[in-house]
Amino acid sequence: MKPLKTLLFALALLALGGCASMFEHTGARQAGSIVDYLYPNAKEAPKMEPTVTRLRLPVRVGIAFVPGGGRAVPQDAEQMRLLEKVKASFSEYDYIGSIEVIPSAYLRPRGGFDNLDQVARMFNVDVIALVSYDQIRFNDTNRMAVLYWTVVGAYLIKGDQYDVQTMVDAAVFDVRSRKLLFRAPGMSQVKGSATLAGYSREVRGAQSDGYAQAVDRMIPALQMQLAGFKERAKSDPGIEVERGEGYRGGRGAGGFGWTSALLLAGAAFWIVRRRA
Amino acid sequence: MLRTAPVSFALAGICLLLACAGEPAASGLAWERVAILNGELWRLWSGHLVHFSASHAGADVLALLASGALAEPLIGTRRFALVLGGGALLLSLGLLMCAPELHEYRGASGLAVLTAVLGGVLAWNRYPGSRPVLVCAALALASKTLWEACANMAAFTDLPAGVAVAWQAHLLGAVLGGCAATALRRSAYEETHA
Repeated sequence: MKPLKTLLFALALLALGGCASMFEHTGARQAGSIVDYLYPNAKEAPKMEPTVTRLRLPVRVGIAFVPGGGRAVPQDAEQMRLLEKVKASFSEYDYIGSIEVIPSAYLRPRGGFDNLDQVARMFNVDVIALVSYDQIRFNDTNRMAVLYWTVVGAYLIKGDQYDVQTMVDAAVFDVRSRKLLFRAPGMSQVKGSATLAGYSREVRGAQSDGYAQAVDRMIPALQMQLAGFKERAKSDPGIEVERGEGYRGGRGAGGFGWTSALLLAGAAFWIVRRRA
Repeated sequence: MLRTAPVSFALAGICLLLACAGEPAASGLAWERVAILNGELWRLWSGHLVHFSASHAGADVLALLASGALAEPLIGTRRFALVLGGGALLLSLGLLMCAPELHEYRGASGLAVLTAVLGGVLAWNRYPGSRPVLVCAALALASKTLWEACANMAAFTDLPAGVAVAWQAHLLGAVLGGCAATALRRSAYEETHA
């Protein structure tokens, strides 16, 4: 009888302990690193070669999330939604022509610049904005979690806390010269608490919010970089800007020209002298 | 000439000073569609005073001075200042509405064309002897604008790379100059026959 009692007691302990063990308390990380993607086998830093970046106006731009290691995070539909926001920030600038949102399925994890070249040719773009991400989620329980032992508490008591920290970074590369033109970061932190039963749903929402907030914070920085790049391109000897055929550039000058101005001056002078 | 056309000289001086002030000042004052729509309304006027280069500023200032020396004494300094102030605003609003592909504009030549047409129309009536010269100048100006509009190329200008001649500003300037001249002639006629 005694071994039976011991066995029942052990089973009860395991069953109750299961409530706690079915839930991870360490946290998780999701990342799509631009360095891992572009330099997958690099053992030493890439050599810097002085090259001139030639941009043909209007510039054709592609935007994509850097492929992560495992399953697509954030999810494809969400990625497209976030990339559409980034696209809107590019479309304000007259020197940017077409903007293509590139689904992550076209980018191979650890594909390097060869993969980037293929994608650029496929989508007919000169410049690609690669959005890398790094999201860390911390999980903790608070004192209220002890009420999970009542079973009902797992559905009513918010005994679990999460802290989701997200960093996104848009790095804009000229595909031909493989040169980084500029980059813009965005960060966010989403904190909250959840019941044990609703934890997964709440955390998924927080992670999604984390990406959305980080992208929203990245966009003003990106716009600042885009405006700054327009000015930098005029003075940077490493960047040559060519006008494409039929491109008016949206920059217009009330240019009279010296010949026309001199003709006008001559006519005005003649009339004024006769008047005098 | 400084006495007879003080507004033209003042504007020419401001244009030259701003041309020396460099790119940051010019960027902050240029006619920029997005900036204006975001509330930076001073650009509606200041865009006509800044230029893309010293050469661009020089040619525009010469045209503005020449046409101002003709028009300003004919209508008086106060009226001339009002016409230019209102003309600058209407030119900028016209570019906002009629040239959606234009994102940035700089230059005093829109105002110079306005002044030249204004002066030309008034001089046509006041000095009949100058009509052959006025016809030649009008034909040259019209041909230049037509060439720039049709060929998508600047005629006789050395603008920096990536900058096209905004012929729309010249056309709007000519229309506004014509309207101003007509209004002033009508006003003068009513004053005479009142």
